[in-house]
Amino acid sequence: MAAMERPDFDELLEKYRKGECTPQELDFIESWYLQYQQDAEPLSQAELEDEVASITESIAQKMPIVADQPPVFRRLRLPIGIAASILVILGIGYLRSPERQKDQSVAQQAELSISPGRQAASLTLANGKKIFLSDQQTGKVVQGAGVTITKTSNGELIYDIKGTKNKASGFNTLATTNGETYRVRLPDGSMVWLNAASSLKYPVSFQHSAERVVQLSGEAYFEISKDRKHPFIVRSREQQVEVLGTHFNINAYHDEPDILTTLLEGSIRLRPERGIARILKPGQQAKLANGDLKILEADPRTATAWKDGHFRFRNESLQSVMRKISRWYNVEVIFQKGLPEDTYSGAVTRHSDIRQVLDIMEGSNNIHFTIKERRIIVSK
Amino acid sequence: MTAYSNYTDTELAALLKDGDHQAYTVIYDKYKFLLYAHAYKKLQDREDARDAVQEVFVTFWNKRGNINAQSNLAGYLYTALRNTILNLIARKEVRTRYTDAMAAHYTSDYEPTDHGIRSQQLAALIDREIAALPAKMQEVFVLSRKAYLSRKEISMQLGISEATVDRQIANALKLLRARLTLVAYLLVFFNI
Repeated sequence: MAAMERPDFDELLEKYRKGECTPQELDFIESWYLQYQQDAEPLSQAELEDEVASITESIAQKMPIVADQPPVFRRLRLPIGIAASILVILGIGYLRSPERQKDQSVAQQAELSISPGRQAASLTLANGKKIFLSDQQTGKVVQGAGVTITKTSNGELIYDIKGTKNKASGFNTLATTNGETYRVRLPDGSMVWLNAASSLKYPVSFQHSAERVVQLSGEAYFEISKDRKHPFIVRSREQQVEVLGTHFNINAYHDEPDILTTLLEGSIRLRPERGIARILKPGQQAKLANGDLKILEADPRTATAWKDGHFRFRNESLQSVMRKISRWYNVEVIFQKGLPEDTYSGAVTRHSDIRQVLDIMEGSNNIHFTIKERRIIVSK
Repeated sequence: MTAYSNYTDTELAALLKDGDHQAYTVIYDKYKFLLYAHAYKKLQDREDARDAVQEVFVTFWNKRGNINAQSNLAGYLYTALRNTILNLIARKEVRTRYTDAMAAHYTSDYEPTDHGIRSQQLAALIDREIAALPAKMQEVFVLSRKAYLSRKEISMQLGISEATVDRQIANALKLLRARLTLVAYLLVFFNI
């Protein structure tokens, strides 16, 4: 390979950014990279541990890192081969046991009705303690260093910070699984509605930071209390939204192709991980797909219907509709081949049995749903 | 110590490809310090280094389906991190510190090399960086090297190729995993 002419290095980086480098240029950059800063002073063990702990914490927000909650079989101290043999034997016993017959009939009964999601969530405190909110009585959930967390009679979670020199610190995480939804009033008075299979991480107190930063995974609707001196920032998959005081919805599920941010009131600045920040006006929706940001006019009612207890679709694909249904009813959806590529529009309550929802869809389209345990099979 | 941490990188990569969360966690735990130390060295900025390492691991999960299990995992992660760091550098507004260093590299000792040599250089760099980690953080790599040796021993004793050993391990794992899924289900059922 021939050596390249001495390039303008700033231009070279620009070409790298755009992915326009020739093989020779890439070779040079990679060769430079290998030796660059190789003799730099390494961090100490304690510093490495600190830094990596903070990476783990933020990755755990969006990733299935299971270190904190080992699955059942990981707790066994037996060598895995022996454990497996014992359990396979147990398993054979189970397959032949009469109880299984009973279980199957229970399962068949369950086919008849799949109930909708409910108001429930888990709250993970700064000290790692996890509280299941559906099991909690109304009243004080936690009372600790400068902060009281209360559950109101309508199930809302409220943070109350005592005093100005409070010691409240650390993060709380409110998380829902499939079939759960929850509402929280943050210490600054902002309200957040969390949709199913989502989580929100926020500091226990905003008092000592210039910005109010929270981390969202999944979907949530925000009503942010006005505080121009302390911008509210929502970080989510591939973007961050900066807010002064406003109402908006973010849909950033990992299994959705697009990240949708819909503004109802006020104004927000949306900063994608790559590219230029854009300002949204009420009634607009930002669609981030593969790093490409588009601003469209949208019907905010469609985007936020979930928080008012409805499914509302507007020219949505079958796949998109079924993803929403699967999160709320906690079911798996299987698509058979050759389905019509129709789109769906309409509204239906989220509080009815799944069959009612599916019947409505069947009625208006050339499509059929079969429920098998917690699976929905979609066929022609 | 879990059974997973005895797996070789190839086995872990194969499990990961099937969406195995624990394999992901073990890979993360194994490489997190090494990759962070590397990113910090290159970027000399803790926050940038955190962002880069985080991006690499998040993408690693999201693109798990495309990961080639036969390739070496350390090399794959280092290359992903390098590309992330170079992108980060190229996106910076002020980058004279990098362009100056490039100019110096160009004049002093740059010789074009082919791809094979470059990956050998990378392998040597990874070894050096593992050796430079605090002793406690090196242990995982020493352990997996032992596992690698024993596989070599198996192949010598049985007179079969290492590829065959690999394939048999993969088959055994597949079977075991299928059984374990059943087992986990049963455990929940019986509340063991």
